[in-house]
Amino acid sequence: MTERTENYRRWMGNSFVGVDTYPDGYTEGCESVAQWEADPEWGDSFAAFKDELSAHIRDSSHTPVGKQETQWLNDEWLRNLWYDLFGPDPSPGDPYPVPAEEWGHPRDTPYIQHAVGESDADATEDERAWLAQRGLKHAGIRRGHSWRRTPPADYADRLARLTAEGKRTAYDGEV
Amino acid sequence: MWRTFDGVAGDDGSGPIRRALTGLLDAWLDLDRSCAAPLDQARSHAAAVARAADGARLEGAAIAPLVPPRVALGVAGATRSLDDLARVFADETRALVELLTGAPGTVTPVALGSGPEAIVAAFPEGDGRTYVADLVADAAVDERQPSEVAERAPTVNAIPLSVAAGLRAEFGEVLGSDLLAMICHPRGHAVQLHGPDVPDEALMARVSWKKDPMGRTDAKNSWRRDADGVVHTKHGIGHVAGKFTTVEALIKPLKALLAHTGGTLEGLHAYLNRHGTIAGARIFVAAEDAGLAPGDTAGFRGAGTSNPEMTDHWFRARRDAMASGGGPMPIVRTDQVADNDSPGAAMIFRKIDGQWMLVTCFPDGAKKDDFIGMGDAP
Repeated sequence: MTERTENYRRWMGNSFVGVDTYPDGYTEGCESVAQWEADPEWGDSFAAFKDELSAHIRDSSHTPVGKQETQWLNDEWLRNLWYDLFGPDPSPGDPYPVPAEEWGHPRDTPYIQHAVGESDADATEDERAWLAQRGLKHAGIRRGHSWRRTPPADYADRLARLTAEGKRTAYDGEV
Repeated sequence: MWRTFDGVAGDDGSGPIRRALTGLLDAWLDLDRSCAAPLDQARSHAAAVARAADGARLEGAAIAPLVPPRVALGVAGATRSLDDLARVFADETRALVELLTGAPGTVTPVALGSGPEAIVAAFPEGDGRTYVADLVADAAVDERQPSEVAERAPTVNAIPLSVAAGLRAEFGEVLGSDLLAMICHPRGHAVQLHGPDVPDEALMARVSWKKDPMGRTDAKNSWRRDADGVVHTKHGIGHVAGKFTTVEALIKPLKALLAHTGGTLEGLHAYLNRHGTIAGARIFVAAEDAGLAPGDTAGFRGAGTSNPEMTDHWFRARRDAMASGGGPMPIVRTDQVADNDSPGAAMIFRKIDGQWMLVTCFPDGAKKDDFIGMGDAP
């Protein structure tokens, strides 16, 4: 996958970017997946978004905002988004999946940061459902880090190969 | 460059470590600022003290000549002792910075009274110095709101009459009323969270302690502070809480968007249908397109948040402060339009029962990638 499609950008722009400035939009999106998938008008569009997200994770082909950050950080952010939307199974073809046992302890995600509270007693129905779908419980959440700082040893080589194959576009400071 | 560093900070230390670093740096800056002058003063007053003692004798010997060397000795001893203390602060600060950034190295000694710039320069060039420089720069201007003060900050869930008057004055009776319904939809909160009447204390409480300025009591927004200072809430807020300072400024982005879409509600709805999804439509209106000028926006941001990693640490430190009943994380007053290179307003719409309504509209420092920019979207 090289360039982001209009459909992908539309889902990203209208729901998932800017989680820092408007967390509610992101977290409500994470709680709407089943509804979107079943929607007669939007189901196909959202399925195409899901496929493209997966391709960008596989190919490190979603160039980050302003090219100020590394590709690895952006890939890790997309892995969090994938988990927040679709659950613990890694995105198909993910070359560096997060070990399943790390999700929620200590790996936290924007959804965990902004929508998961301290206990079941304070939880919303959507929050309970989100946790249950991922086999998590409030008591077991340990908020550690949202990304792995160090890319795997072969990451730079992999980027170079994917760039050479035309699957992604390189930029200064990507590693 | 991303850093080749993993896990030394532990899972997760970065929130408590950032809080500890903030406190240590406060202490070091305070010591540096406050201690040098009194010691200089003691030294320079030694002659005056000696004169005052003129004529006094102890066991037949004049006391006055003893004064200057004794004062000098005392000042030197105190300076050594305080320099040692500064050194402790410096070494500990450096260790915490390394835990947070992975940047190794040692700090060069800084004589007391050298000032904040010398403290920054004591760190080896690189990520560690960059991190400290940002903290030190913001420390000179930051503000702190303890949670007991946040608890007393007012919460108001009301639309001031000035908004209706402003919309009708700008858009006329008919369109103004339609837009009022769009902005004041029960599920919207542009005015209550970002309108001109939101007081500073409420914005400070929002960013420091995640307190909802409109005081909603639902499971997502309710806010509670226990007697021991522990704060509970899930209110969604990042590291900036901002508002428009006047009704005119608040409606500038809407005015620009309406003009861009043909000047009618139908045109606006068609535009949002074209660019939105089932989730809604988010449009970024650049400040220059909206005519937003410095002074039109105001708010507070977390201190020392100049890159994603520092912001992440600030978030975790805030969470730690809330969970442990701790002191406030520092915040800095900001005017998003004045303080950023490409600022604007983020407008968030949602379709409810077939009608587009405005969920919120807030000043933002920059357009996030893939956020639809009004200027790019016909």
